[in-house]
Formats: sequence, C-alpha cells, structure tokens
Amino acid sequence: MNMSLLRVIRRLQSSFVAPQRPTLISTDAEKPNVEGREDANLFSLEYIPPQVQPEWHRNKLKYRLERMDCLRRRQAIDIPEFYPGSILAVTVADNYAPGKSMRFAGRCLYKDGFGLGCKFVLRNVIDNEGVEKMYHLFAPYIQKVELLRLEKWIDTDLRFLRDAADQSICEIDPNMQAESPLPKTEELPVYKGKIRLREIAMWEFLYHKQWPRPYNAYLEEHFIEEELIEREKIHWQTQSHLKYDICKHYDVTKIKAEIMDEMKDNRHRVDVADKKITADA
Amino acid sequence: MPRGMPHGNSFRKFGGPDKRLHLLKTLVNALIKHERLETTFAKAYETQKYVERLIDITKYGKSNLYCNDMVNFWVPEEAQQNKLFNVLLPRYSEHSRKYTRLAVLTEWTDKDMKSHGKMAVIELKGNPLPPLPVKEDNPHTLQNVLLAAAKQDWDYQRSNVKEN
Repeated sequence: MNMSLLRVIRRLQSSFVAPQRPTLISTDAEKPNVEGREDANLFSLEYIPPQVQPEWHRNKLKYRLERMDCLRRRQAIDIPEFYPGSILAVTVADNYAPGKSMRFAGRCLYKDGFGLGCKFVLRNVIDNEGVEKMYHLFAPYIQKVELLRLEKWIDTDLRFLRDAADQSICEIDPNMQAESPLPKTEELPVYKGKIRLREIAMWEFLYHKQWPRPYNAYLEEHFIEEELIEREKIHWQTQSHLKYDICKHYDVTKIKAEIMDEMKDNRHRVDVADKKITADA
Repeated sequence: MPRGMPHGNSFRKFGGPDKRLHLLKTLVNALIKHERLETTFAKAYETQKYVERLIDITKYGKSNLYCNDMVNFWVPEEAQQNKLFNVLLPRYSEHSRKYTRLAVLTEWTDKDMKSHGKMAVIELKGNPLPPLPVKEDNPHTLQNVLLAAAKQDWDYQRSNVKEN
C-alpha cells in the first residue's frame, strides 16, 4: 500500500513540462522599418511642405489639414510606396470606356508636389509611339494603383528617358505580372546604371546644362570631359553663393520628426472630425 | 506681403550675393570672437539670422557631413571653431531658438551724424561682458505671472493628452 502510494506520488512529481501552444504571433522582436521607407500612414515624401521664407509665413494648420485629407484617402484605397523609375499600373474611372474604367501601365518619370497636389507621370511606348499620362496621387477617380516593379534610381527627374537611344526601357507590357517588392525592413538598392541617349540634335532639352547633372544619363558619349568641367565652372560662378547660404537651405530632418509626431495624432483627429468617435475618447 | 520683401525675398542685398556672403562671414566670425558687436541695424539683423542658424547646425555634431562642410566655410579659423564647439554649444544646449539679443541704439540728432543711419548692438546671450541696459519684461507683474502659469497648464495638458 505504502509502496504503490509512493510510486503514484513519484509519477506526479515528474519533470514533464507541457509544450507551449503554437501561436500565429511571433515572439521575435519586430524589425523596424528602414529609415527612408516608413509606413505611409506615418510619413511619406509628399507630406513635406514646400519651402517658404520667412518661416513664420508657413501656415501649419493648413498643412495639417491637408495631411489629414491624405490620410483619409489612404484609408479608402491602398497607395503603394514607389519612386521615380518604378513601373506602375493605374486604373482610372472613365464614363465612356468599356467597363467604365481604363488601365494604363508605365514607368514613373517624376513624382512632385505637396499633399493632395502630388502628381506623377507614367510613360509607356506603344507601337513605337511614346505616351505619357499624368495622375494626381490622391485623385478620387483613381480606382487602383498597382506596383508592378519597385525600382529606385539615383535621379528623381527621369525626363531624359524621352530621348533614350533604346526606347525599350519604357516599353512596358500592360499584362506584366506584378513582382513582389522588397519588404520595408530592408534597404532598397539604388539603380546606378547609365542610359544611352540619341543624337544631340534630337534632344528635347539640353540635359548637360541641368544642375545637378543627371547621373543615370550617359552624357560622356556626346561631350568631352573639358566641356562638362566648363559647365561646372559656369554654374559655380553664378550659383556658388547658394551652396553656403545656410538661411536659404531647407532643413528637412526636423520637419520629418515633427510630421511623424503629428501623423500619430492625425488618425484620432480624422475620426473626431468625421464624427466616428467623440472628442473625449 | 509687407514692404521690404520684394518677390517674397526677406533678405537684404548688401552689394551682391558674393559680397553679401563675405560680409556676413566676417560679421559672424567677429561675433563669435568678441560676443558683442556694434554695427548698422541692417547688418546686425542679418547676422542674427545666420548666427542662430549656424548654432542650430552645430548641434548636429561634428561627425555630420553637412555640419562639417558649413562650419568649415563659415568659421575657417580653428580657434573660433574650438570656441564654437566647446564654449558656445554647451551654453546653448538648452536654449531652443534665440541665442542672440539685438538692441537698437538711439539715433543721432546732429544733422551731420544723422546720415550714419540706425545703429544697433548685437550680442550673444550669456556673455561675460557687463549687461546691456535693455528693458526686459518684468516676470513679477500680475499679467506675466498669470501668463506663465497658463503656459505651464497648457504644457501639462498637452503632455497628458499625448501619454493617453
């Protein structure tokens, strides 16, 4: 009797530990988003207001209201993160088109503007004819923005692709399959290739006179080194005072921190304004 | 747009962009060296903007590329650079924006001296020289006491709302 009782007690005192139930939430520390690729609800390049001098001319309430409107639009539609050089496809509502919507795919040449006025241009070459279309990022007639390929180029102004020797850079198949972009926790590699341009007589604009000179355009084919150095000297003679004029520089780091702080409160403000919740909550 | 701001440009010309930059560079260096200057009002007003912006830039630290570039241009002498980083930065580490004080001097009543224009004195705050006879707001008047208390309440409310 004593021995059997002892055996039962010994069995109850075993070193068996039940395994943890597997959960879908991972216990590893979440990697933060890379600086420069933050969540769009917190920060995006179009949230930075344009430079105004003097500083007290800036109407911060106006900028805050515009950012709230951008947040409202982003809640309705999914706008992916993209840079000039990436390939997009945009579906737009059109009353007179079959199916009431029209889809256009192309490579983004530039993305410019503040808040709701943020515009971008897509270029596609269809049947040897270059076609460009400009869209407002937050326009209400845009039904879908699909990111087909995420690329980041050194230049943010790729209008020299209109005069590229090989037009297949902008030839995009409308039925192209979307490639999954890199997650935001990793840094995006920047494209540093040089694009050949056709003869100077056919250029739309003298790209070697642009300052800063486009890095992704292969200008050494048309100009010798001395000419390009001359250009730099001319620019330095006329514009050297701007490089060190600290009061005219635009300090974006402080503004970025302020915007990120503000955007955390903006969702609450938007809900209060749209009367989804009361102000006390 | 107020007068004195052609095409929205709130800066003075001072004889051309390169001459202006050189003039401001000498004035900024002189302010850092002597901590108090007497010049015309126009020059003092412009140096005030540039000195405050320069100190804001030095707060990023010497390892920052932009800061290094700008400080090497605006303060080329090493003695003044050391003073800027070792003496002025710790002095203004808690100040948020206004590091200088601009005091306007009385105008000459004499007809001959009147053409000299409005003179002003610009000084860095916290300097070891005897203080200027500038009238500062009395913090002990009733209005200022109430205003300070209201400001404290507002800051407290804002910090509470953020935490919640």
